[in-house]
Amino acid sequence: MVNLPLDLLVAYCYKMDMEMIENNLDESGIYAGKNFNDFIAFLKEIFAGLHAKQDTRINPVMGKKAGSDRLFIGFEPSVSKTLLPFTVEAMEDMITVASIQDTEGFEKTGDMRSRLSI
Amino acid sequence: MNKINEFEHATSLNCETGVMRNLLHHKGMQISEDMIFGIGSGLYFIHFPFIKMGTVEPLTSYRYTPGSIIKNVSKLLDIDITVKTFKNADDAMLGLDEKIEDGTVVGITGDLYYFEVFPEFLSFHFNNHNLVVYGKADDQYLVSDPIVENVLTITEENMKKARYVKAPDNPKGRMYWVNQIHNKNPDLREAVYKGLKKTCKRMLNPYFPFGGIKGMRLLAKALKKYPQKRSQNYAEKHLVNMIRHQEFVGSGGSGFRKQFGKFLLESGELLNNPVYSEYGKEMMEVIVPEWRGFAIDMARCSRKPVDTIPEAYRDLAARLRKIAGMEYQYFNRLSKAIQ
Repeated sequence: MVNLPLDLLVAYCYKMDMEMIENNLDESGIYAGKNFNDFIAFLKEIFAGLHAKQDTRINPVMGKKAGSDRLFIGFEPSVSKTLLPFTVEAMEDMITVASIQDTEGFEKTGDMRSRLSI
Repeated sequence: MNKINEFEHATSLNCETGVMRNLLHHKGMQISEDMIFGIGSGLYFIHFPFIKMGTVEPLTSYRYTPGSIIKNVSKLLDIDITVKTFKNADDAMLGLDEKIEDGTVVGITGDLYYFEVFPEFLSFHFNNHNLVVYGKADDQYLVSDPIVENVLTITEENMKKARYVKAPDNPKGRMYWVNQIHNKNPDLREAVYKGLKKTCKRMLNPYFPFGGIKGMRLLAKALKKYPQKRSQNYAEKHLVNMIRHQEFVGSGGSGFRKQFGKFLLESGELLNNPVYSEYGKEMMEVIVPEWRGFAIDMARCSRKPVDTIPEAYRDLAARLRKIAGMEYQYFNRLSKAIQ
């Protein structure tokens, strides 16, 4: 499990708030197959690329992975809409984060029922 | 019932100020969300160690009581607004339907969780969320929630569940609507002054130990002892909830301080008042970053076992005490500067 509630983790990704992500995630965790430092560097590169294209928000989308009943949340930038290379696996309670994974086997099933405007 | 009233959806940072702004726009008054926040004296700090906000964590909030902004703004801007609560859920729903049928666009308060308007990953209970209902089609209410991009629908069942909950802060079907705005282009001078005066008074109140600067110092004292006195579950939940309310849920960042700073800057420009501009700048450039830094420190503390990092909690407490000192000086000077 990841030591951050689902709403906060997804919100930080939505806002590309690298500072909060970096300071909240457990340094001993494995995220999208990477150790903490590699994952942070990976995210920084992705977000820097998006900022360069004037993308300031990432929209979470819903999805599934083969072999799992759980909801996976993917991320699509507002402008380019190309799925970013990481997903968040949500526990059934929709509060706890089971894991942060890559997009292997991820299939988008739909958009969230609404999009935040903050 | 099929009744759709005209209403222009617009987004905002905070639900209460956003709904109020949109309702006023609907009635022909143009005013920003930031001005509503400041005139409504929304900025505050409160820490009640014996009232729970969630399962274990205590109540810590960065703004004054939900609903107070609407009340204060209505009074100061001479707006005739009706606020109604009900004895039971059925009456609340009847009341809502009656207003929609007679063409009134209403603001309502209820549990965010049951409204089901936010994206699915934001599923938590918060009984003081505000949104606008502007119509009903079959069994679906047509809703404008200023925190989301588009208008939505809510089922009758969910609307009822959201508006009347079994909790100490049950909104009791609270709904409100603007009857009349006596002056759509008021001189905001007095309203801004009174809003600021109230904010300063509340923040500096020496008699209420849980609020304002005293509340911050009380919390700082408690935080220092978390490694010795609180469980991991308590400490982690409290810090995470504080981060949530300070940086994310409707606060605009830094516990509403950013919104307050923007209110002062806008007031300075609108009213040609350099004092407001100066204090707005100080809030944005000096105090806002300190709160943000505090949020980062809380994040760092929350990810480690509480009893293994006593020095980190001491530093966290020291940082909050520092911010308390800064805000004490700030509001003290501001209260004198606006006389």
